[in-house]
Amino acid sequence: MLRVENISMRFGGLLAVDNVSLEAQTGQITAVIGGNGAGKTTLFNCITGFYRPTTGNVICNGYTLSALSRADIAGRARVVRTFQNIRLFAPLTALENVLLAEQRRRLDFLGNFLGLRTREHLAAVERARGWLHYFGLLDVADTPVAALSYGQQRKVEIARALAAEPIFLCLDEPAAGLNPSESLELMHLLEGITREHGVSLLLIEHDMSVVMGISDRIIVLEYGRKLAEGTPADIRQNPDVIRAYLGADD
Amino acid sequence: MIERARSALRFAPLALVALPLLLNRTGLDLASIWLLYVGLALGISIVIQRTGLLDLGYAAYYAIGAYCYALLGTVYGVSFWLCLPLAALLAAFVAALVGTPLLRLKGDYFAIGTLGFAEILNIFIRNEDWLTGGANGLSDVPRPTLFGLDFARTPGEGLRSFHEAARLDFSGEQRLMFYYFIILGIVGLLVLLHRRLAKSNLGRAFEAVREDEIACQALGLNVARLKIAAYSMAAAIGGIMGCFFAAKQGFVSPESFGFMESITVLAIAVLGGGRPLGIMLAALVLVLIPELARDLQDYRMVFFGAILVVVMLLRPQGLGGLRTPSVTARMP
Ligand SMILES: Nc1ncnc2c1ncn2[C@@H]1O[C@H](COP(=O)(O)OP(=O)(O)O)[C@@H](O)[C@H]1O
Ligand SMILES: [Mg+2]
Repeated sequence: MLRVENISMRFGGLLAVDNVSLEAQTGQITAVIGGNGAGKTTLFNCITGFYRPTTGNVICNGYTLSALSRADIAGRARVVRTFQNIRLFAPLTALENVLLAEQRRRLDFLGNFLGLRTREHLAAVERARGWLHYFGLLDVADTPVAALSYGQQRKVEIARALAAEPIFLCLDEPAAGLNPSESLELMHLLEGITREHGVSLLLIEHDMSVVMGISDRIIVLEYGRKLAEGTPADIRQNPDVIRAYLGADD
Repeated sequence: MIERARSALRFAPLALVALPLLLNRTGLDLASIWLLYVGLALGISIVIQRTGLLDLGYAAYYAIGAYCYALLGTVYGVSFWLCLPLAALLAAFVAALVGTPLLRLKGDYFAIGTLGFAEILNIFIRNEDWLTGGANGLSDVPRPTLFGLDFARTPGEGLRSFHEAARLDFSGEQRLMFYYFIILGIVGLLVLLHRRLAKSNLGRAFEAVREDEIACQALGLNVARLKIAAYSMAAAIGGIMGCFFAAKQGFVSPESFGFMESITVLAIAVLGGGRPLGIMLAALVLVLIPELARDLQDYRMVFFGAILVVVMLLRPQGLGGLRTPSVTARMP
């Protein structure tokens, strides 16, 4: 379970996240939705150590995340994230990008350096290929990611995060920039990550229709505050949410 | 055409081994200097191109290696061959020590920091006469021997001379050829190191640091440790080169390790594009031509600048060619 306790984040005069608490259960898909500027990314940055929250704590897998470095949040607490603006290693191939996530496990650096085909290394390549296969990317495994389409780059970024073996995977607007059919396909793949591979998901999305179908639980943010929380059915009927979303342009 | 050029390249090592047969004394000396700069540029390119850190003070580690041998060799009689690894270790150790605070600095600030460190070290060498001989430097650095064979006309105490052992007439070229083969061997090993780095997890992680430190952190990679590893690895190579330089010259002084030396090596690496073959060509252009046209020494920097600008305009990746992936899906 990933527990966010009373997180606030202040930028000068702006309270971007205002005393938000939430719980994401292991083995489930939890979505955080809200319009642009609602504070979703800021909340993610607080969870994954990219911002130090002004107040509050995040607890996951027995670790207090706010006390760990970014690398340790990924490597030890096994909470791994992607970025709203894709951050790949551009000149490296898709396979190389994914393999890099294996490296925190201290793959036998010396043996590999000497050119030995160690069992660990072969297994790492096999796992990386497995994730690329899951996202239908094996054909472009050896292509530099800068040459891939936007949708493919998104998938490489998610495959790479999965190769870091997260217990909780936090995805910041994975469907942004995709057309409706691509976005539907991606949601199916994300569902499989949790249902078949047992990785818990925490998912940010600004368009609530995208995540309604796959989420177990939804948290709605507005102006940095938690507006509503519940199952997709609860959220659909929640008067506050209806009011907020009827007023919004998406 | 490119295929044929590539298969011809396989004979390049052979050609380099045979090269001294064609060269006279001056030629041999120049060839060794050329390879010395190739080695230095191979070293610095680990930080510059692979890890994306702008190091403006690489000459510091070159100096550390040179003074390491000059001092240990003259004062304690430590052999050249033992000093090679010692110089590498000492340089790497200093780099880890200096790098720990310096590598916390971002981009340009790191570059200025390395520049500052190299200048401080140079001033230290100039002023601490008791240790380094100050501006006069240290002379009579012992010449390397080959399994106890000395290349002098009359061998040193307890040594045999090479020309007697090989039943040859004495000639000064034998020593120059010996140096050439030492540096050729070192550069050969460095080229192998580069190849392994390009194929390995470690080299790939260095590249990831260059591309996006934030993404590295999000994957749990220890960016600080990777940077120190790259910086120390490059420093170790600088140390080895310094040790060879001291042995070859028989004399060291702070003038050889100034800012211009760092810039020369940096320019070769940038022009060479971080790949061994490109670096060999770049060193040929940037070191040998100024050496041959000594009258034009004063214009050396203008020449450097002009070449760099032209190459960067025509071929921004340098002379070295494009990246090849470290691993492919089809291999295991
Ligand atoms: N580093 C920052 N400095 C100042 N203001 C910020 C910073 N990051 C985000 N904000 C502000 O916080 C608010 C929430 O932003 P964000 O979390 O990116 O929203 P969302 O991801 O929900 O679209 C916005 O008003 C944004 O301008
Ligand atoms: Mg956002």
